[in-house]
Amino acid sequence: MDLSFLLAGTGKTMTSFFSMTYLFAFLPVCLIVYAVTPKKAKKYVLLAESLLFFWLVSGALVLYLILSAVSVFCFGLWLDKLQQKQKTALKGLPKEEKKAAKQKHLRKQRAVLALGVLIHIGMLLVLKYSEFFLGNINSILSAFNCPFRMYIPKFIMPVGISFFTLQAVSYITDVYHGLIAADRNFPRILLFMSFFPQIVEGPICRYGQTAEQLWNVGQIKYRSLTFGLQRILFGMMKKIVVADRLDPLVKKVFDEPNSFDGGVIILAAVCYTVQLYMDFSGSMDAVLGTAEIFGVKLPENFQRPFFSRSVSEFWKRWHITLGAWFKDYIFYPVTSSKRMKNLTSSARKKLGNHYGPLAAGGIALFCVWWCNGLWHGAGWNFIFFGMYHFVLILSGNLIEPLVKPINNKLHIKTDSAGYKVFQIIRTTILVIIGELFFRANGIASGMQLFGRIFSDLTFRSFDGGLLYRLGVDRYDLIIAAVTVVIVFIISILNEKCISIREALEKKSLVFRWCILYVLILYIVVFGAYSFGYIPVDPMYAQF
Amino acid sequence: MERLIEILEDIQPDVDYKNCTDLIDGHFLNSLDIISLIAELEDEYDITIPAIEIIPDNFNSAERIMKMIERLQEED
Amino acid sequence: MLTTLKNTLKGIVFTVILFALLLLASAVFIPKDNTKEVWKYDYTANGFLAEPKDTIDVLFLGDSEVFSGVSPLRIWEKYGITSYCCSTGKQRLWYTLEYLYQFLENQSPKVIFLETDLVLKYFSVDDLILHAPERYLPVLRYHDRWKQFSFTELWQAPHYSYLDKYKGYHIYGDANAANTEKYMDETNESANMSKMNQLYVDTIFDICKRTGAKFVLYSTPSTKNWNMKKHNRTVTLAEKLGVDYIDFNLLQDEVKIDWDKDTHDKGDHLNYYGAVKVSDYLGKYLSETGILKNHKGESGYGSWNTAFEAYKKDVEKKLNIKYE
Repeated sequence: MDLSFLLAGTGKTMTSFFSMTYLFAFLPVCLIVYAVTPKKAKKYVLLAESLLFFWLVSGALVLYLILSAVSVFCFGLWLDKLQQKQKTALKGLPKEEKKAAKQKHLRKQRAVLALGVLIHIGMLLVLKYSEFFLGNINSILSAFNCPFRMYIPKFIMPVGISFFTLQAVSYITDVYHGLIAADRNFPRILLFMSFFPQIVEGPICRYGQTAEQLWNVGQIKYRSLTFGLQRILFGMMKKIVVADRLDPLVKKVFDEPNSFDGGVIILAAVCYTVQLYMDFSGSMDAVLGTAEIFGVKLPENFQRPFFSRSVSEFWKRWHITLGAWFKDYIFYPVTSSKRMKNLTSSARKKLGNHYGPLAAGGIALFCVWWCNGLWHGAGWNFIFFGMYHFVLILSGNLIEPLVKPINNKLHIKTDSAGYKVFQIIRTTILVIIGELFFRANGIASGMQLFGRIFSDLTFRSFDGGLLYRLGVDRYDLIIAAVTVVIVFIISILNEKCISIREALEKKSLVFRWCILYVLILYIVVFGAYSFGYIPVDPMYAQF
Repeated sequence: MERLIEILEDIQPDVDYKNCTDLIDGHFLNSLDIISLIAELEDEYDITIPAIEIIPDNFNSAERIMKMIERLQEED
Repeated sequence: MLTTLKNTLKGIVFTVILFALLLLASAVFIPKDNTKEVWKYDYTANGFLAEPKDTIDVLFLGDSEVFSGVSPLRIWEKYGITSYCCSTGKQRLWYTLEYLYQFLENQSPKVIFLETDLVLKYFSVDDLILHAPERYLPVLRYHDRWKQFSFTELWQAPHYSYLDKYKGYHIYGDANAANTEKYMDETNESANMSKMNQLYVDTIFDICKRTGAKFVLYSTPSTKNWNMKKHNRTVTLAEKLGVDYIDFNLLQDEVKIDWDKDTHDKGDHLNYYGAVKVSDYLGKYLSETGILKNHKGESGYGSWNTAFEAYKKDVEKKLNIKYE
């Protein structure tokens, strides 16, 4: 019997939570099996389904996920053992000796932590970045006419590695800090690492946020079922009606940076930012909606980012869990290291309150954005994207003390609605420029596109044939725009702390059902699927 | 407590530290202020504040900050 | 317990109403005519919808290899046999099956050909789940028609008016020589055929058997799309089904394809000259089966003569040759 299928899985079909196989085959079967299982066994069913999902997508690489969980589990126990040892050793010691002894113990724990983090991040680096790094070394070698070339190995990456690796590191670190107790229950850790809705595109969760919840899952409740399904539907609208519809246009312009004038490039850059938001936040709706059905509350990844008044606020509201991870595990650890603290203290005395901490903050910020860029992909345009935001946020901090007096002099009311709108638009434009480089096929291509916006700012290609050349038509743009407006209105309401879903819940059954039917038919009719459309992979699954 | 409020006021004046209970969540202190604050606190109270303690819950009010300091002093 | 029952009931009612709405939407969205403007995609393949009932005896199913490689009007001219190419670019088996169902609604073909290029081609489970319900809920396929709605046609019943002038065939005049290196080199290996493809071919075969049509597999000459591995696999398939298999790629002695002149895109597809050679062979094969009638001169088939005359003129004009 041919068993090679055991290694292969079924390929990429299911990585999109809006793929037919996932929505109409995998998920329903999972829910039914889960629902009919006795309560005590539900968590194991959930675990089995998660591993099954991973296997279907990545085949034998599911072993990598399991090994990661084993390693995380062992490091947790190891740290725990060292901590216990420290406790007993320190007990009864006089205070003077205590400190020195504690340092000795901590050094050991730190070494274990470093080893654990190194293994996981190291594997990620090797699998995801060796091609990029070695490729760069080879270009340098060839620039110096050196006859040697590094051998570039090809690795297959397990799906979601960028996401679950960060979860692994956060677990080990949290155990080290005593924030959580080391888990003695391996299946619980495995479930924390592999819960299937979040494995492909996050959100990146901390052990304290989800592990207990996942382990205590119970009966599917009617309310969570309906709420979850509604949220999936809403995400589906974002993804299928807007994101996928704009895909041909974006692809065309970014693939041919020389063929279009500035006006079209601006259009494409805006469309790409819209597409990215709709795709990623739509997928998040599906992920969180699915988790909601199981009664699990995952952390939100978006908080209406396009209402941000500054770039740094934007990044607190876009891909929130990634930003939080960087803040918790890079930004503050860097700034609160001994050397940085001394730097802050001395700089504050010379430079004052604002610029003093900026030295250490700037260095930490640099680390964060370097990592953020690289995390998104092994390519110079991603690093450029990271550095672009680093410069924006740092310079925002640098000029902040200058802006205030100017505003005062010009009698600009910074909390007036007009100024807020100005800030929001300014932030959005800066973000769109960043995403342009993010999407471009390399920095050179990005520069070319960006340059053309200024050197060739005409709208002459906006003739009758333009849209046809871009692979869309007037109606595509109209329906995308209408849907964006719908999402925008809902966002405004959410921004004002009005929960649509809870408001709807209070309405009559007929009214609620009508809304749902309208939404479903809207997706069925206006979705970009079936004939004439090519399914688009979820954008964040590649990272 | 007096001393703590002095430090806070030195870093970021315009805030009523005695009564404010959402220093972080209300965006009264930004991440740069936190960096300064931690450096100052460590000097002043002879403690180490590990990065993991830097969570809104520990910094949302002067009282919460004091609680954290006392806890860290005890642990040492 | 009572609430569970109530909620289940609610779910069922919700779903039933949803399906009713989708059926209603389907009635609205289904194309009301098969013209190019209304149908948009693959309209030449749909020309059969306007053909009079039970007038087409032979059906060719397949991807672009078919509409570039068989000319039904050529077969009509030589043998008086009526045929049609339900062929679309990048067709996959699930779509082939759809065409077969649609075709059988109004026609009773005696012979059904399946071109093999698509038989071994991959299609995903996603395609299956997406397209299988389209037969029952056409709105899933034709939903894009909101872009061209006119509100008067919305509520009409379908009426098909478009007759394809070449019966699904596309004339390609130019020639681009193919590279025949390694073309059909001997090997004992066999290409892979997925279970899903197998299932679909079996289904098509069963339908043919049920309707009494003769099912034939054939491979258009193509240096790019065909090789010995695929041939071997198809031979196995034909043996299993017990059907005829004509591989033109191995019939070089009888159907003399000139790879310098008979392909319009370097061996990917045939041009007019190649299609004539294939059509003549198939016409002869069909007439020799003895199950097909020569309809020439019969009343009700006059339009085929008119169509042929127009086709002949177009060929002469387009290719600047004398029709032979």
